[in-house]
Amino acid sequence: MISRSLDDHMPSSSTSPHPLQRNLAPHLHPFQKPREYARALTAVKMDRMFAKPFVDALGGHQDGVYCLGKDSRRVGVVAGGGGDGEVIVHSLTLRRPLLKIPHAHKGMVGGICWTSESHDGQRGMITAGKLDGTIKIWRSEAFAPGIRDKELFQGSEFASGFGSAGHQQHLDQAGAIGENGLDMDVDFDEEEEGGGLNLDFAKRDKLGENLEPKMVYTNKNGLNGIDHHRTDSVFATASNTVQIWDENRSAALSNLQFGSSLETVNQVKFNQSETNVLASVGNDRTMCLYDIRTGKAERRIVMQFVSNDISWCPTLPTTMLLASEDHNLYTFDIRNLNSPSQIYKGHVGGVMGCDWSPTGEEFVSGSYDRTVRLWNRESGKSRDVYHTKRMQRVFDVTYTPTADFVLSASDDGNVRIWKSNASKKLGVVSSKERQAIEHRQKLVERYSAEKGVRSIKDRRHVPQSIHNATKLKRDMIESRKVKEDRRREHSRKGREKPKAERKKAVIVEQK
Amino acid sequence: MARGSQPFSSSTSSGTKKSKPIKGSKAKRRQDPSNAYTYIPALPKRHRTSAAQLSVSKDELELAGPSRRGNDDSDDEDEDMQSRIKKVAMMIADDENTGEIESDESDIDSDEAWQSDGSDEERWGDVFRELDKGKGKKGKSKAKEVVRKPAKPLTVNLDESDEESVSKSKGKGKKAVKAPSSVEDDEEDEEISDGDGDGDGELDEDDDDEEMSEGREDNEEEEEEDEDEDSEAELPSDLSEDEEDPENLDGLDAFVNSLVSADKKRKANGEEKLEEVKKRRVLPVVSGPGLKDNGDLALKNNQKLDLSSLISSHPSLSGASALLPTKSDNKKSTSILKQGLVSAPLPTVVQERLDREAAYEKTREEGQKWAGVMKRVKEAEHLSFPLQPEQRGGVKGTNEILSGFKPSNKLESAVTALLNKANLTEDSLTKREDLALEAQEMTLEEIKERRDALRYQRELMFRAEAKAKRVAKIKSKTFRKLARKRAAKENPGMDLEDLERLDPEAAAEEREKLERDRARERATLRHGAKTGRWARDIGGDNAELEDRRRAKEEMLNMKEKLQRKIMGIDEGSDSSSDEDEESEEDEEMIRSRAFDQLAALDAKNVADQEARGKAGKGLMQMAFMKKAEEREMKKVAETEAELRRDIEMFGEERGTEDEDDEEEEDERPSMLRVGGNEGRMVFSGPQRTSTVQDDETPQPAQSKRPSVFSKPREPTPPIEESLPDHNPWLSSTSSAGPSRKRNALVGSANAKAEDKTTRSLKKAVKGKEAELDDEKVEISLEANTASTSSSNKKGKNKKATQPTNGDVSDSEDENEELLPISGKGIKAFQQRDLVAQAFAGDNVVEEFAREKEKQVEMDAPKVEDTSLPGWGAWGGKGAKKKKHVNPKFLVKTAGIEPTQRKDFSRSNVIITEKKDKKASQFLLQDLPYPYTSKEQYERSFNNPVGSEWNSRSAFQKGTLPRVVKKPGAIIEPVRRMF
Repeated sequence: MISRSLDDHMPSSSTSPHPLQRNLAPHLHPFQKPREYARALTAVKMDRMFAKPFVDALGGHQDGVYCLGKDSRRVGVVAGGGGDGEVIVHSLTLRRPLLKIPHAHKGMVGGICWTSESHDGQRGMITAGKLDGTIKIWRSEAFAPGIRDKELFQGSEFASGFGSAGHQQHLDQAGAIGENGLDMDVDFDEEEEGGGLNLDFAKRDKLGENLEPKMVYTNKNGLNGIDHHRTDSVFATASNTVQIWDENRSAALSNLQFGSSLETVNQVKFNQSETNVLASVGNDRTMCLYDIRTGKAERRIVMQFVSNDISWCPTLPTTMLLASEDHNLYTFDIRNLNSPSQIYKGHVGGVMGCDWSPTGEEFVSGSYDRTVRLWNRESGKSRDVYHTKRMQRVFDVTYTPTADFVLSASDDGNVRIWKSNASKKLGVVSSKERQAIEHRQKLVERYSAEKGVRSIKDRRHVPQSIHNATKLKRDMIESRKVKEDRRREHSRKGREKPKAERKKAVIVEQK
Repeated sequence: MARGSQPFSSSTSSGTKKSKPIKGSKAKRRQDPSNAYTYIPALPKRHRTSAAQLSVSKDELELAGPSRRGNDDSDDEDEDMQSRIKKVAMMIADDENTGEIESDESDIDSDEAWQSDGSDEERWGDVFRELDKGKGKKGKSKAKEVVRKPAKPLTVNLDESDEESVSKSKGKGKKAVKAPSSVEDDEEDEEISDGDGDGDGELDEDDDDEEMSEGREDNEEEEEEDEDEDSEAELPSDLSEDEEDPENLDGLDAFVNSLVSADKKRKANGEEKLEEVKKRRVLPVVSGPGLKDNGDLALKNNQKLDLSSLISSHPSLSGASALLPTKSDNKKSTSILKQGLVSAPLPTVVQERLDREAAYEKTREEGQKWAGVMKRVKEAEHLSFPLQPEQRGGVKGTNEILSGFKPSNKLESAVTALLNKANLTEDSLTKREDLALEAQEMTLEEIKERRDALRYQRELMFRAEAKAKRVAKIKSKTFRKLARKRAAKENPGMDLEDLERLDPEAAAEEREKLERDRARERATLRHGAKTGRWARDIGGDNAELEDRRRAKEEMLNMKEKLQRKIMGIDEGSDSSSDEDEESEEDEEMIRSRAFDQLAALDAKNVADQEARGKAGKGLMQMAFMKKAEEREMKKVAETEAELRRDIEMFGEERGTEDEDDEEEEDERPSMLRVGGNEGRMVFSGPQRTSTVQDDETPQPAQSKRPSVFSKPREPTPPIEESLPDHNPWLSSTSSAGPSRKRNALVGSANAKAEDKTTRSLKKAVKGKEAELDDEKVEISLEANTASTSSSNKKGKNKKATQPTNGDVSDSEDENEELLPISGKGIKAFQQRDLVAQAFAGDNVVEEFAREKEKQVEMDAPKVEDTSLPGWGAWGGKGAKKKKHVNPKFLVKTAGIEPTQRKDFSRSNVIITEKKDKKASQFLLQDLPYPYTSKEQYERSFNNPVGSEWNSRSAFQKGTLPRVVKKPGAIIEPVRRMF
């Protein structure tokens, strides 16, 4: 007699999945490990097959792009500063410039950052000139189309209870609203005054040419870097000292320097969680820590090589990343500065820029060797390497605030968009597919120690020049090591001890 | 107080007299604002000035004290004091650090000046009292003010120096320092409360003289007010003010005089100092009654004065004294002078470094606070972004939105304007409500009651709303239907007729709707179908129902039975329905066969007799023999009849037994579980005593039976117990069918019926014997053992066969069957021979050993001598053969030592030591990173990830990536939550 209950076959609710009609007894599914291994192998091959990281190149610059300014409060906007003083605000979703400011500075642009709030619907962008030593604050609706709309419809509601938080609310939304293709049509029709999303290039160019900075500060020395405080209207610049400025004042609030040293500061960055702490890297191979509350330099380390860029981890507030000229990247914990907590090796040229992923688990670096590398925080070898034939020396890289994409600015005058996960499928993914992808990822992760899987997973084809340089570098390091070993062998015992690589990086920690 | 004060009264008066002209001039100077200006331009830098002032004021004070007691008996002491003070003054003048000067000064004040002062005042007490009488004039009070002023700079200066050297935050400390030293506690307090406004105004002389003078004038004007205020709101000393005011005034006069004398002395010191004094006199502005009060107290006490004593003097404030800093503290902070010279400040470089270190420590501490968060982030198995809850999250209530509403566009502002005009704003409404409430003149209780009732109502409403929401979400159709019905029942509503009367249009609509419904019902035939609910409710014809009921019952029974079986409660009889049926069939057949056999026997007997009868003569033909035979025959017939009956009865009994089974638990004597498996059991039938029990059977065919059954029928232990284990795999080979019937057959002593079983038994026994006897010969006899064990499972069979292994086994050979004892040995030999024949020349074990040896040898490391004999050696006669071969001709081949082999101690296996190339590609050289041991790594593969091996939830959980984020959402850096 066969008796079946419908309860066993129907889902318990409309949203729950159908009940499983399968015997899970392990003896009915033999060869677990071999089967999973085979699947892992397939998965890793698929992963490589679908690895197409390059999304697009954003052109428009007349000269190389030497700095990027990411608007951390909006999804799809980035500004690129050119070698000829031109600043272009790109829209990543439209993949075209929103605004071009042709003569923002005389000479190279040293750095770009965005203000923490907007004023009357105008997002503020701060640019610093490397040669002319000026800082300019630009405000235009074209930077953040959609903010004004937001304010009209929702602004009052959000602004009511929370004061300044309201501002941030529409900033967060503005990126999504103004630039995801949905609202685009509306904007096309309406053709709002002063830029927006209209595709009238001539108009846009005219707007850019006529745009006047809302505020101009002058400095004696050229500015190599600029960064904005996370919440306050304060920003810091890097020239021969670190200077703190207020958006509403005409002179620098304070000069921060370590002792009386006057080195050229390459880059300065605010901590995102301990918002008053900032760090700079300078030409004297130094990294220096400051606090704007005490207004003092706090500690400085001198390293073997000069560092070009610095970035603070967004989830681990005491961790910072240095992009060094010695082809390596270093993470430091500010609580213990006498040695780096991890060294990341892989580039074969000086590392020009670095940026943490907003998740804090990964970061990206761009190098003079014309490659962009992606790294896991935990491992010293790069997870992936991106390059194209046309991409020249990379001078700045940045993660988008959603952690989905990586942007690189290079010598060739393009800002390139890369996927942060090379084989990730863009667009909507059904839950079934997502599950399959996750399953594959898990399998690869589990079997990645195995040779067959690992070799496929780690293999990357790099341009010949980089391949050769890697080999050459390896040989050189190897021979150096051999030499050192020999020397040690022939010296008195215990006299020359091998020094850990991490201990070599920092020469001295200055108090 | 009165002690020895009289002698000096005259001197005091003279002192006052002396000072009078000066005082007059002073007052004049003070009154003239231009005078003040004249001094100020001459002032050096503010910094310096203050220092000088300080020193001067201190000097003055110091000098004032001694001067006042200049005519004291202890002149020596005075001189001593003066010299000391001068020294100090010199030191202070040298010293540039104003802050320190300040403290010096106060120190001295506290230590010496006021002590002497106190004694001074003690002495002048009478004079004060005398002067007291002349109190009440305005002029006097003016004088008092004038007098009081010189004491003022003390506090003012302190203030200034503080501002210059120390940050304002140290005001407290300053206060503490001053408290015991200065007489003017109250004034001081006042000053502090006044803040910088007054003090700064006065002290910014360098900057703006006019301002200063103005401030001064202002203050003078305010003085009286201040006094009034003070008397009302100041310290408890104020309370005594009223009584002792006159005394105070006198005392102050005296004090002023002494100061004037001090001034005189100081004038000799130089122009600058003079100027300072003047300036100092100019400065004091802030007024208050404090001075006199405290002075008064000090006069009385003849002790050092401090705030605590002041406070404790009043009962209401006695508790507050505990809050004050202790004396020792004050001492400590004020005694820098005693420690000697202050060391020079550190070089800026060093100072900066120290600052940096301190700042870094601070930052590090801040960083350390993140340690917990960071640890959690690092160690998290899964990170789901955003990590922290949204800062401005949450859905706002209507109230919140309304309260924060601001018109943002024209329309909104117009509407608000209108509302405002109509006085319909939220505020005005509430106000009006309040007014209305007030108008009702409700008592407090009433209001409370009302509010409670309102609250209760609101609560009810809220609940109802929540319930309605919940109910609205239910999607079930049946629920809806039921709900509709219930609603209809509860709220029958209006009849159509009623509706017609009230609203004909609606009624028409309603009717139309009803019509439509009916039509639809007809069309869908829902009402007529037998399957409809109605039909079901009414019920079909009875027979059908009965059938259904029976079927249901049957099903239930079956289910119960099966369940019982699964639980292991049931008996052999109902092991399974199929088997039962089968066995029933068998039974029928076997029974009929048994009857046939009996009939055949009868026929045979009859034939025999006939044959014998025909034979005629012999022993058998003799009468007694015939008789005996007849008896025998009768007996046989009897037994036969019995047997027949038994066979017939057995069938019936079995039927009844089946039903009884459940009750008669003891009737299941040898139910056994096989291999610990509940589902699989072996049953022996109920122990039925055979009807054939007598040993003496004349029939040769039956003669062996008695031997079988003559043995006492004690229940023998089942063989299974002696067997090592049950092989669950053998269940399939077991000869099917329940055993009871066969037992009966055995009992029936019918050879043919028994044949089947015996044959299988025979085989089994054979196998077993072979196993037992021929242990050396390793042959797989699995089939036989299997059958053995399976057949052994039948309890009755066991009993029957065990004692008669040999004879039962050979039913085909009658002779052998008759020789039960000798049969066993022969059989064993036969079996062994057979096996030996079958596997002749099959030396498996030896072969295996040989093979293994060969393998071991092959794998062992070898040294091969490749040298050619004769080469490289001497030949010919007498040549010796080389003992050692040149090692270069010895070719060594690596291998594994026999003792190192994995199978060294296992004779039954050969484990190859060769490298498995196919497997080796999966072996790892190093342990992967997070793992610390091989076992740990291997364990990580224990749980497969695939959906074949996991439930859905486990699969999802197992494949969840470490970082999960919302697509397209901005990930913010972590915010500070502590």
